[in-house]
Amino acid sequence: MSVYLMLVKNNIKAQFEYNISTYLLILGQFIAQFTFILGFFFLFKSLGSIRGYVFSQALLVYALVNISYTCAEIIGKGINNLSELIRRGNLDIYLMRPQPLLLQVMGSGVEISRIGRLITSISLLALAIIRSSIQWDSFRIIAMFIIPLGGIILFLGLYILFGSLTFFTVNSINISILLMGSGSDCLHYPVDVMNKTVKTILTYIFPFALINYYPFLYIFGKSTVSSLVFVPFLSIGFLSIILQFWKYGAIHYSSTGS
Amino acid sequence: MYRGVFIYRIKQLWQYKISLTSSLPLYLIRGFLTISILLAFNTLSLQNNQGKELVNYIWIQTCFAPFVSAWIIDSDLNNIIKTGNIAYEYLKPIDLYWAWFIRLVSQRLLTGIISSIPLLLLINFLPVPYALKLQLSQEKLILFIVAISLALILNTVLSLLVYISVFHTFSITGSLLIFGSIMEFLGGLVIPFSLFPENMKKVLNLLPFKYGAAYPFQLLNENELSMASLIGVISQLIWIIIIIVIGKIWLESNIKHIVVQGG
Amino acid sequence: MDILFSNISKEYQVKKRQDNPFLNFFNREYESKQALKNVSFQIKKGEIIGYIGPNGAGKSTTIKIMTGILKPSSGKCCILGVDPMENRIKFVKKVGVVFGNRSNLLWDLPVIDSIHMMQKLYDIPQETFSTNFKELTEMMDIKNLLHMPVRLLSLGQRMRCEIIVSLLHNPEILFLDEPTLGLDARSKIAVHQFIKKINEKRSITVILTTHDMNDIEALTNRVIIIGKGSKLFDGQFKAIKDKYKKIKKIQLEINQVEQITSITNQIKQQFSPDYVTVIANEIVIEIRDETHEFEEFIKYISKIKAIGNYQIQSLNIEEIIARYYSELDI
Ligand SMILES: Nc1ncnc2c1ncn2[C@@H]1O[C@H](COP(=O)(O)OP(=O)(O)OP(=O)(O)O)[C@@H](O)[C@H]1O
Ligand SMILES: [Mg+2]
Repeated sequence: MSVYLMLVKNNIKAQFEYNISTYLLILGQFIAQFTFILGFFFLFKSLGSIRGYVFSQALLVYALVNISYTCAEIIGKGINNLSELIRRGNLDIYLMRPQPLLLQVMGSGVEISRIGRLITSISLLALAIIRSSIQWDSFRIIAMFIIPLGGIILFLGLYILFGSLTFFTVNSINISILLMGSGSDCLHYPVDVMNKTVKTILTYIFPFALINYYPFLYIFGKSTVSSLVFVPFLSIGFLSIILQFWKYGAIHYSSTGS
Repeated sequence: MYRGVFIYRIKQLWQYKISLTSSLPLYLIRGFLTISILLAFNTLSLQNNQGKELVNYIWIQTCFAPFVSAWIIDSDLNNIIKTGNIAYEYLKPIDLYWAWFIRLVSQRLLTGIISSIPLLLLINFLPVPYALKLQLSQEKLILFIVAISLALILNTVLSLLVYISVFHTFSITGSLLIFGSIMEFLGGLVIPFSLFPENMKKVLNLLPFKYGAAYPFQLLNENELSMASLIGVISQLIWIIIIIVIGKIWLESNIKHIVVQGG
Repeated sequence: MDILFSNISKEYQVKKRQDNPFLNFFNREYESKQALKNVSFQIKKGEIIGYIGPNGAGKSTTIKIMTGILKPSSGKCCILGVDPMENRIKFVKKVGVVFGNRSNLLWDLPVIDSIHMMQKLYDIPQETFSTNFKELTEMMDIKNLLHMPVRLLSLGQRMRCEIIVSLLHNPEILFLDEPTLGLDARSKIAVHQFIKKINEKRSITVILTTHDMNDIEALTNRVIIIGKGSKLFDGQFKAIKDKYKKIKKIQLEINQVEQITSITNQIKQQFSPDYVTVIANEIVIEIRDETHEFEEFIKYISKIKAIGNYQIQSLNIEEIIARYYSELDI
């Protein structure tokens, strides 16, 4: 862990070497996120409520998912560099260091500029909590921490999954394209508002329902089963399957070398 | 001369044709997901016109994304500006502004033609709520082609401003993120233009961004072509000229600075 | 034995390219490309080995296999008693690697940050670290570079730092893949001296690939030559030099240019030179210094008036190796 923190520290230090551009990026991320949220407001303002959720409820889901997404981007964005690392041969250098490969790859590209976005998503959460009419109890409060945790694990899992594909073909799909805009947008809504196919995929294949649907059943009082707030922990299972895939990919890399 | 720049750029991009074509399904998925979120709103159903119009709007936006999006980066150009290799560019016997313009236009054009426009053939045949359903007349089609072409030019000259700002910020991503998010939002790419509050729409009509994005998309949804639709084209032209003038002056002043400072 | 390489082969799978982008996208056909064929050798502790061969011979592939980055298709590789693929983290703590064409340093930060990073990454005890750090920086004379950002270093300065960084954790084997790539003569000598010293001091095993035969001459006795994936030579570098020692290269400067063809023809008839070329007013001849033919040749040319000046040379080291490569047909 301390090794990871050191890699991160060095990485951040390097980013601040080019000061203006890093500050600009932070500002840019803030603005980008702000326009997305503004868009969200206008959407509800002119179209009313979304299937079974009023505005303040949808806002809470959005904010919690967004915090997870942003945190996962901050720590996991480095995985996107994998194809670049392979192309330039820098992965070989990482392989020669006595530390887990994934940790080094992640540590190589911490996106500090996303802090700008984190600020907006946290203020959004505050706003959502104030506007909501939720009867707070200890389970519901704990859920505010468990959901982002599970969300970070799921998003990281996605990053690692698509990163692992790079071991097989350097030209694989860049996850940031996929997650850009509406791709990630749809994860910010509870799965039951979606059309059936999407809902099935998000429940059984990429189980985002674990964070944007099940725990909220209890939080919004649609169910009385309080243990639903612990459902996000199941995302650990998803991550561990994906980690196996990563290992498999790394082995594949060492037999092709490209 | 400029044709050379164009052909060279197209050849260069042609090498990435595989990754460009492989983004076709991604665009499809993105359009599909956006629509399914919109259709989840209670007040929207396909019975009313608003629903149909939004579906059309999203598809046109998706198919012409490379023409209108702010996020199309020419990283070579960025490197040239950032690393000071501009000196070599400057030695070429062509006007820098137009040479860069051609580079950027050809990139958008080619990317659009191979990575998203082919979707138009497919999305007419999707199951009902998701299909693109347009009532086309000849005049409407011609006007749309003119408008989308002018939008392509308008967006390119706008993005040239972003590149010129790199002289000051040293980072295309920084400049682009700030300028691009504003441009996309105000142009009606984050949420469809018709969903903005009325007051805001009035203000946005006075800015250039709408004419690079929402305006041509909305044209196709209109029942009858009116005087207002024609005025749009004129606004596009005016904005294009204004922004070219700003861009040229700004670039000149930067270059002068470099020539004087050796920078 | 530090390194045991037995019957190693490596085939790369290369995707067959198709012109049509769609076909290419779904294409699953592979061609295999044999990069190493049945290569075996052993290296003892403390040796410095020059691993040479023409471009594309398989040198880097071999280094990658020895360092556990690549898995051989067949054969057994045993480094320091273990299979390098088996326990990567434990294994890499015992070896150091420098790739001449990529960097282990933090590009935007001062060198010293990279050095401290290595201490953490390799979990080097403080005491070992400080003695090593002091010793290495003094030996390489980079004290004044420590606070410069890496991106501002010249290639030679950076390479010195790369080498130091790879030695901080006291590796038992040092792999150097083209460490002198792009360095000037002085930097090369500095690197040579350093490698020599560190090899003597710590009896560290060094495997070095290079295209610069001066590296080989300065550093190694034993070389392994590889060509088209096969091992072709393994032995003393001197043996190769001796093989060509007898060849003399004689440069004749002709005063009367009009006579140049007749002189050339005479030489070709009377002696049997290996090689004759004419450039402007010069004739270059190669002849073996074995029989008395060579002495007669010298006598002959000293008699001819038209020859103003002549020079006798042995083949230089680059020429020798180029000759040898073509003789091996690689
Ligand atoms: N990842 C790869 N995939 C497919 N083929 C490869 C790969 N890496 C190397 N090769 C091929 O294997 C052969 C050996 O390559 P290698 O890099 O080992 O050569 P080398 O001896 O280091 O050459 P050089 O002196 O130019 O560095 C070459 O023909 C090369 O084209
Ligand atoms: Mg090599």
